[in-house]
Amino acid sequence: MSNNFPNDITIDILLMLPEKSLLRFKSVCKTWRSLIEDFQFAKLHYYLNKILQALENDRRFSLDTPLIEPPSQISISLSKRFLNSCTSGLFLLAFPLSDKVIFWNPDLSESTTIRLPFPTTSLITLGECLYLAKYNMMVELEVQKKNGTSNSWTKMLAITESEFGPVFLKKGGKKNGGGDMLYFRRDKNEYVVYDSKTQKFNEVKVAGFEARRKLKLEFKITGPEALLFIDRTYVKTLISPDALQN
Amino acid sequence: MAEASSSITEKFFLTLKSSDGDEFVLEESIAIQSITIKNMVEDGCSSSVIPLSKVDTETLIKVIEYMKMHSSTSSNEEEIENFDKKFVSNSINTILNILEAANFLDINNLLELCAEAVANRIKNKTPEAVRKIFNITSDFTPEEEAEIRNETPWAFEGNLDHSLD
Repeated sequence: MSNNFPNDITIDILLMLPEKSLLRFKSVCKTWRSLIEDFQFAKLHYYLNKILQALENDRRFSLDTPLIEPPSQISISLSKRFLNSCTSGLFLLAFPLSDKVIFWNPDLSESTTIRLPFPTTSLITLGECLYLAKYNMMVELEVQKKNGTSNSWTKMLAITESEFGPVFLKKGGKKNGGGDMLYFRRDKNEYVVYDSKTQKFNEVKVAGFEARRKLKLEFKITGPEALLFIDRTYVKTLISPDALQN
Repeated sequence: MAEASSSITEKFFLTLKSSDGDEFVLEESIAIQSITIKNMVEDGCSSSVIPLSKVDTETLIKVIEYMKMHSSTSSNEEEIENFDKKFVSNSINTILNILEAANFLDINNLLELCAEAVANRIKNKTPEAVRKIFNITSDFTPEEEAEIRNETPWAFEGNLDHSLD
């Protein structure tokens, strides 16, 4: 075998190794070290291993024992993002694989798998996976709300969408008062907007242009500007940094 | 009449040529598990011999065995499972060659199977053994290497495997 073994195959192999092996193999050569220390790689490795592991395991977990632990050995910055997300009431993770997308709710320990209409050889981004889901049978998102001071979570809404396109996240900022907005189209003439700050659902029942105007005026939402669900910290860890720049 | 002719399932065959010059005739329906070959067929480049300049004979034989077993027309799940188990017991160098071929031919299942097999085989190995297996020369100075070890000394402890297969 030649010395120039393709990096993309090396990555495929490294992705399937446990953390301890990865830390040891950083000393193999500079190329391997840079592959292993790459932030995108760390993210992929983390999700692939932890989430798949979680999906295989028995799913009896409570809120006190978060199923998905911060990846302390691989990336400190990633672990910080996870801790942040744990406190902000996040509900959903999505992990795109080459032939399916797994949506994972860490608090409920429940998952939904969506098979992609066609297999891709490379991993897709979350934005792309939602785009694909638009053409797929169903995306089920369970939006949950922490119920008072107790640790029980009440299901507030199950979104079942098929033909009306993906769910969008309007990222909260100082301008919007800090809360993230989750919005999607439930019907031809109806939009639903979830405000993570007030934890309220607002229904906008108007068609076409009028609806867009209302969304813009009342919720400052314009177009499919933001990519994804619920918690922007998760979004940041899942999609490429380039996708967040707009 | 039209019905009669359409009910005949005609088998198409392709000829694959390894880098050593050996030719293998394979049913098209089996060969198109390789996306690379499928694309060639769709582009109409398959009338003659398909040269696979990056795949040697030994590796191509293995890949064809795999594709035959995994083609949808034959073999049940249990058979496939046993075949895969046996398949990944090949020497690690053979599997690495198959991995390169699977990457070039774009056979996703085979790529995954072999990547996982290699990962299982090397996960307890020493960095030195991994270098030899992958034919890598270390480009670290001894000081740099010691530094990496000192970052996470526990990762270098335990019963490590020095073997090369």
